Amino acid sequence: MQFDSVIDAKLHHMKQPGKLTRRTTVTLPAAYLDQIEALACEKNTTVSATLSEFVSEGLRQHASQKNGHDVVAAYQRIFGSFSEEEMLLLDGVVMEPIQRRKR
Amino acid sequence: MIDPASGPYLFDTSAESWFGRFGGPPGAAWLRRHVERHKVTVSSITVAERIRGFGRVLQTDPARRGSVERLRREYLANLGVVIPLDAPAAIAAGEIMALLPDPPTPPRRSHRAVESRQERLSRWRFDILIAATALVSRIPLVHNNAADFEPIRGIVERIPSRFPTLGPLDLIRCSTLII
Repeated sequence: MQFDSVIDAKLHHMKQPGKLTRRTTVTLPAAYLDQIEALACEKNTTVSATLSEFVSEGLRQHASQKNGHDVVAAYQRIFGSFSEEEMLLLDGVVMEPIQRRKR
Repeated sequence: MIDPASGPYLFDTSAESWFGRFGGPPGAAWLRRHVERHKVTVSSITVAERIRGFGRVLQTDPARRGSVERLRREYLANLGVVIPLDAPAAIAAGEIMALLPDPPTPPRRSHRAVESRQERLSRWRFDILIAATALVSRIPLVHNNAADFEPIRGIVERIPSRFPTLGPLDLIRCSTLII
């Protein structure tokens, strides 16, 4: 894989209304950059804005996946920690010991 | 198999337990993929039932206070969307309770312990409140308790005039999610 496209060589902070942005340098496969540029041109927007959209969606997906793993692991930890009798209580089944009659 | 990306679904108390204990790797994989798209959605009644359960475990074994408290906090920290019981759900629940006053199955019992009739009735009413929440929210209910939920689905189907603009109650058994 080629990493031959440099977007920017400078790093500095730039404040826009309601949105903090930062310039940085990233190296992307040339083919990806070509596609991003073509999309930006198609949507009449900038390469940065188009790239931001993809990064934002990728980060959202990553967070969702992490959340999914967290929830499953939590359920397994929580409900795997109890005995069968305790699980009945956790599921709302409350049973009392049977009183044996003395003969 | 139900597409994990579909939803949202209302997860019954019994469904949470199924994913944690009985779903195995296929169940875990299904839930992971589901949560990538949707938050786990439960009724506020499920939260009440569960917190009551944690409390009852603590009462039976006070020595485990530390670990049970930690698991209770972890459960609450992982709550997704909690649907409160609102007026329309309460009305639907009241109708179901009037039509089906008695639990469809007898109290649970084992060789050492038995559920009182009062406890069985309160559990039945909790299930009705959860089903009514799903019905009014128009969200399929994922459950592992067909014995209680199928009669509710049946009554909504048989007497639709008592549930105007609502229904049917869409039920999904946990095991069918992964088959």
